[in-house]
Amino acid sequence: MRTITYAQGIKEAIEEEMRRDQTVILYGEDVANFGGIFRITAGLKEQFGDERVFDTPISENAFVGAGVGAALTGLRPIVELQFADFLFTAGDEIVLKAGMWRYGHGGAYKVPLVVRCPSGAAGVGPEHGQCPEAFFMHAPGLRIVTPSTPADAKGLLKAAIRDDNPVLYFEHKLLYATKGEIPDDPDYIVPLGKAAIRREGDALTLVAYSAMVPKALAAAERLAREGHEVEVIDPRSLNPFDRPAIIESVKKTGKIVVAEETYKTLGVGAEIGAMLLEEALEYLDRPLKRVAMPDVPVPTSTVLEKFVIPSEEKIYAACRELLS
Amino acid sequence: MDKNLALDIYKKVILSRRLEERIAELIKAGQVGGFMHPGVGQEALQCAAIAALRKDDYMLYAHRGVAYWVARGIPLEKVLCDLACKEGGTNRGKGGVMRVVYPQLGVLGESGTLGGCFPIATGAGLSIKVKGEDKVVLCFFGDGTSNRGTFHESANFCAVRKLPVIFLCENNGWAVSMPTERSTAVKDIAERAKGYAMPGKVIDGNDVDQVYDAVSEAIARARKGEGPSLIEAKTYRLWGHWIGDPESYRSREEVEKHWRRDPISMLEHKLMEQKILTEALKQQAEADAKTQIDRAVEFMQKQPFPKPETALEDLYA
Amino acid sequence: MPFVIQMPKLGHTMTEGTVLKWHKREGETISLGESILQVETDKAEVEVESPTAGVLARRIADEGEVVQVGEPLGEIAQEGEHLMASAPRAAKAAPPTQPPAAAAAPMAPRPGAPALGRRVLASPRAKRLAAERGVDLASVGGSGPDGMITEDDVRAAAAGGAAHQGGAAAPSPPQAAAAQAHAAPAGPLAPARREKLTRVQFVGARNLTRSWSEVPHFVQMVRVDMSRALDARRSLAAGGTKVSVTDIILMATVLALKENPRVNASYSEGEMLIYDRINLGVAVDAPDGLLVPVIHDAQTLDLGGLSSRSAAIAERARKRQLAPADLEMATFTVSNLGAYGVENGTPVIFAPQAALMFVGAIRDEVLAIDGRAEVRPAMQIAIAYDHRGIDGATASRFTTKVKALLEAPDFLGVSTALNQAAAGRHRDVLVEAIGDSMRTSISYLGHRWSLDGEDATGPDPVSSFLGALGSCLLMSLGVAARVRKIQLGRASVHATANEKGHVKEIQVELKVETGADDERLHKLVEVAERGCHIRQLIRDEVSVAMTVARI
Repeated sequence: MRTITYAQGIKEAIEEEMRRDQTVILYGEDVANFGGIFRITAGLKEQFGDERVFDTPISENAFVGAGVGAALTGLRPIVELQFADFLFTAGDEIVLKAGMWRYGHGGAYKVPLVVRCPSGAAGVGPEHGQCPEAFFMHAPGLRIVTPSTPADAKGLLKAAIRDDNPVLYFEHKLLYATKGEIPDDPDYIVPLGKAAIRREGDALTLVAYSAMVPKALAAAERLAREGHEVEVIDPRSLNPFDRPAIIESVKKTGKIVVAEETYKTLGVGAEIGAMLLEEALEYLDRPLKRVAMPDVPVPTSTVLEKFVIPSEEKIYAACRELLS
Repeated sequence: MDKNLALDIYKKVILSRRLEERIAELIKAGQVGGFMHPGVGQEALQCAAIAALRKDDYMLYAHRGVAYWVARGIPLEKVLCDLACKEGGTNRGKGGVMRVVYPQLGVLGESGTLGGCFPIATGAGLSIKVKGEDKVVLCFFGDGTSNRGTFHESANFCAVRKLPVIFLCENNGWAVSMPTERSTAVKDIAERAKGYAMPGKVIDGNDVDQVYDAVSEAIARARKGEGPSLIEAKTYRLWGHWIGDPESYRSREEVEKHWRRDPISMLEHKLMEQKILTEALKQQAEADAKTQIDRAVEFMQKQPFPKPETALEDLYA
Repeated sequence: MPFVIQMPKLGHTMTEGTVLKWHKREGETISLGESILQVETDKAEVEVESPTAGVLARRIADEGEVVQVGEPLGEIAQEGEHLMASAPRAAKAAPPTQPPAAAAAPMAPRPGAPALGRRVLASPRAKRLAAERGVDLASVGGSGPDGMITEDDVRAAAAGGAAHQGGAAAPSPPQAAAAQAHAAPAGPLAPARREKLTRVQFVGARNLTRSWSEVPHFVQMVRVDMSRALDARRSLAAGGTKVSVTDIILMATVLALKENPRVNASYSEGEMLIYDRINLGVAVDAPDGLLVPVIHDAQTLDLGGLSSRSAAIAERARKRQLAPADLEMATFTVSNLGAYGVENGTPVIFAPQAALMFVGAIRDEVLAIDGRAEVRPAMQIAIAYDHRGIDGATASRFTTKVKALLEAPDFLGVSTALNQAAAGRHRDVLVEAIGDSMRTSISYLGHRWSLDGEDATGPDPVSSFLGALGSCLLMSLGVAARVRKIQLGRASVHATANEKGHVKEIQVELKVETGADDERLHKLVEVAERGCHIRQLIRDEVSVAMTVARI
C-alpha cells in the first residue's frame, strides 16, 4: 500500500493506461504544455509525445465531438474539460453524440470515450462550480463515476478508460489534494456500478458521493459518539447505479439521508426517493431526508457559497432529526 | 476522367435518382412510415465525390438524398429497410434512414443535429493522424449547416493540427425555406477557408469532372499530411426539403430554371458527346436500376419490424 | 390433505415463539416423532416434533420469524399425497385439518391488525412489524413526527403486551437506577459495545417492568442468627446427611408458608388467590441469565426431598435443560444473594406472586444475646410483599416465622446444643447385671466399669451420677473458659444429693481458681451450666443449687 493524493491517482491512472494501450490519448485546454490548470497531467506530454498528449483551442464542441469521432474510429480518447460546467457548452456532443451514437446506429459502433470533468464549488462561481452529475444521470447512454478517494480516483479512471462506453468522470476540485492509501497492484481497477460502504452501521443509511463523502463520514463520527452507528454508502458510480446496495441498507436501518452537492430538485436524492417508494416502502420508518443545495446557482462569494453548499453540520442535523 | 469510372458514376447517378423517385412513391402511398430529405439534383455531386474515395476512407454524409449510400456501395435493401425502420437495415430500426451506417466502408453514420458531423469528422481525422494512417475523412454538409459554430471550431481545429478532413459543402441554395444569401454573410462559403488557413474552392456541383477533380486534389493533400480543405460545390435542391414539402417559400420559375441544369441531363449529354454513353447503355442502366430497386423494395416489404423489446438493446457496449 | 404443523403452546402463558432453526428442507422425509425444527419461547429452546410421518411439503415460517401460538409453521404431506407446488406467501390457504383458531390465511390480518377502514398514522416499517407481531396499531402510542407510530413504538408495545410468568428476579432496580442517574453525562455518552438481551432476559425485563409499575411493594427485613442452623448442618453432615444452607432456608420457608397461607397467594382484582400448593421458585444463575426454576409441591417434601430437588433443578438450569414446565407456576420465590457476598437488598416481586425473599450472605456479626455482645454468624433477609393483599401484620408474622425457624431449626431434627461432639451420636451403653443384680457391669466403647448398690466394689448409681454431673460441669467450664480465653487453674466440684428415697435436690459447690473477676467468673459458670449435658438433662426435674467459690 502507498499513500498518494487524489490528483496523483488520476495521473497514475492515465499514465498506466497510456503505457498499456497505444490508442489512449489525452487532450484538452492547457493539459499538455502546462499540465492542466489543476496541474494534474504535468509531464505526460513529455512522456508520451505531442501526438498523444496535446492542447486544444477553446473549442469544446469541436474537441468533445472529436472525442466521439476518434472513439468511433479506433482511439480511446480522454478529453479533459477545464470545468464540469462545460459539459453544457458541449451538450450536444455529450448527450446526443456520445450518449446516443451507438444506440441510434443500432449498435454498429461503440464510443470508448472518457470526459474528465472537474466539479464542485470552490469560490469559482455559478458556471465553474457545479456538480452537474444529476443532469447527465438522466441521459441514457452515459456512464458516470464520482470517485471520492485517491484509490477510487485511480481505480475508477482506469476502469473508465477500459470501458467501451462513454464515461463522464467527475473529479471534485476540493478532493485533488486529499490523501489516501492505494494498493500497489498495477492493475488496480474499481469496477463501475459498485457502491462502497464507507462505514457500517444500523441506525440510519447515509448516501453521499464525491466531496460529500468526507463530510458524511465526519457527521457519522459525531453521531457514533452519541451512540448511533450510521451506515455511509458512497455509490461511486451514478450510472450504473448500485440500487441494491442502498435498498439493502435501508432494509436494515429504516431511515435514509442523501447528501449531494447539487440543486435539490431532481437531484440524485430524488431518484433515490423514487426508488425507495417503488422498492422499499415497507422498510421505511421515517421520511427520506435530502441534504442538497437550494435551487440556486453556486454564488461566488465564499460567504454565500458556504450558505448554500451542504456542510457536515447540515448532514449531521438531518441525521439527528431522523434519529430522535 | 477514366471512361469506366465515368460510366460507373453515371449508373450510380441513375440508380440514385430512380431510387429517390421510388421512395417518394412509397412514402406518398403510405407504404413506409419514414421520411426522406430527397437529394434530387445533387446526385452527380455526391456520386462523383465519393468515387474519389478509397474503400478504407471515412465518410460523413448529410441528409440530402440516397446517392451517398448508393455511391458508396451500401446495398439498397439495407437503405430501404432503414427507411421503413424494419429489420434488415443497418441500424435495427433505431435511427431510420437518417442514420444509415456502414462501418465496413467507413460510413460513420449521421448526426441528428445539423453540424454534428464536423466534430465527428475532426475526431476521425485525429484518429487517422495518431495512428499514422493515410486515410481521409470526407465530410458532406449543406450551406445552412456551415453557419453552425461546430463548423468553425472544427475547421480551425483540423487546420491547426493538419487533420486529413475534406469539408465538402453542397451549396444547394436552400436551408429548408431559408435561401443561402439571407443566412450567410459571405457570398461563397469557400471564402471561409481563408479564415482557417486552408485551401477553399468553389466548383460547379453538377459537373462530375469538377467535383471529382477537386475532391481528388483535396484527398491527395490530406493523404500527404498537408491538412484539411474546403470545397464549395454549387448545386440546387430540385425537390422540396422533404417529401410532401409544399415549397411555398420559392417560385416555380426558379425551380424550373434549375431543372434545366438537372445533373442527369448534363451528365448524359456530356457522356454521350464523349461517346462513353450510348442509348443502349442508358436503357441498360435504367433497366438495371429498376431491377435492383424492385428487388430491394420486395426485400424490404417482406422484412419484419424489430421486436418491441429490442428497444432496450444497443445502448451500452 | 397436508398436515399443518403449528406453533405449539409450550407453556400456559406462551403466546408466541421464534423459529430458531429448521432441521428439515422442503421435500425431505420425516418420520413420526422426528424433530423438524427448533423454536424459542420466552423461557426455553424447544424442539418441535412431527406428529406424523411424511414429507416436509412446505416451510411456511422462516428462521428468525416470530409466530403466534397456533399459527402454521409448515406443511407435511402424508403418504399418498402429492406435494403441492409452493404457492406465493400471500396466497396461502387456511390449514384445513385444524380448528379455526388460526383463522384464515396466515397473511390475512393477524389478531391485532387495525380494522379495515380505520386509518392509523404509522410508518410503513411499523405497520409491517405490527402485522408480524400481531400488535394492534390502534393500541400503540406514536412517538414519531406528528404522533406517527414508529418501529420502536411497535417493538415496545409487543414487548409489554405478552406473558406474565418467566424471567427472574432482578437485583434491586432502585440501586440500578441510581447508578444510571449518577452516570448522567455532561457530554455525549456512547456505549463501548452493546449486549443484546437474551430472550430470557428480555422477557424478564418486561415482566419486571410490569411488576415494578403495577404492584405496590413494601419490604420487611430481619437479621437471623444462623449459629444453630449452621451447627445443625454440620451435625447432619457428620451423620452422613449433606444439605446446603439454601436447603435449610427453603425448608424453613416452606414451613413458614404453611403457617401463613396468605403469603402463598396472588392478588387478582380484589381477591387473594390462595394456593395449597407451595411451588418454590429458586433463583439460579444460568448461562443465559438469572433463571427461576420451580420446585413444585414443596409442601410434600421433607428436607432430603427438598434438597435433592433443589440440586436437580440447579443442575438442569446450568445445562440449559430446563423444560418450560420447570419455570412455571411458582407461588413464592427465593433468591440467595449470599453467594455473591451481598448482605441485603430490596427485592422486586415476580407478579403474580405475592412476595419474594432475598437471602443475604452469612457474616460474623456482633449480636446482642441476652444483653451481651456476642459474635454470631448472621444473615439478613429481605422479603418484599404485594401490599394490595398483604398488610404489615400478615407480613410480619411470616417474616418473623422464617427468622424463628432458622434460629431454632428443630425441624431439622437435630439437637442444637453448642457442644456437638457428642450430639447425634448414637450411644450404645451396655449394662449387665453381675450376680444378684446389686452390681452391674457397664461397657461403652471398650471402656468397662462397674457400679455396686452397696458401695463395696464400686460406687452406687447415684454417686456415679453425681460424679458425672460434676465431671460434666467441670468439662463444660473448661471449654467455656478456653473459648473466652479465661485462665483457669484448678477447679473442683463438690456435689451432694439429698435423698429420701429419690434425689430431690442436688447441691453443687464449684470451686474455681482463676484470675477472672467475679462478673466474668459468674458468666463463665452460667455458660458452663448451660453447656453441661447432664445439667441440662435434669434441668426440669431436679433442682440444683450451685454455689461458686474461689480457690
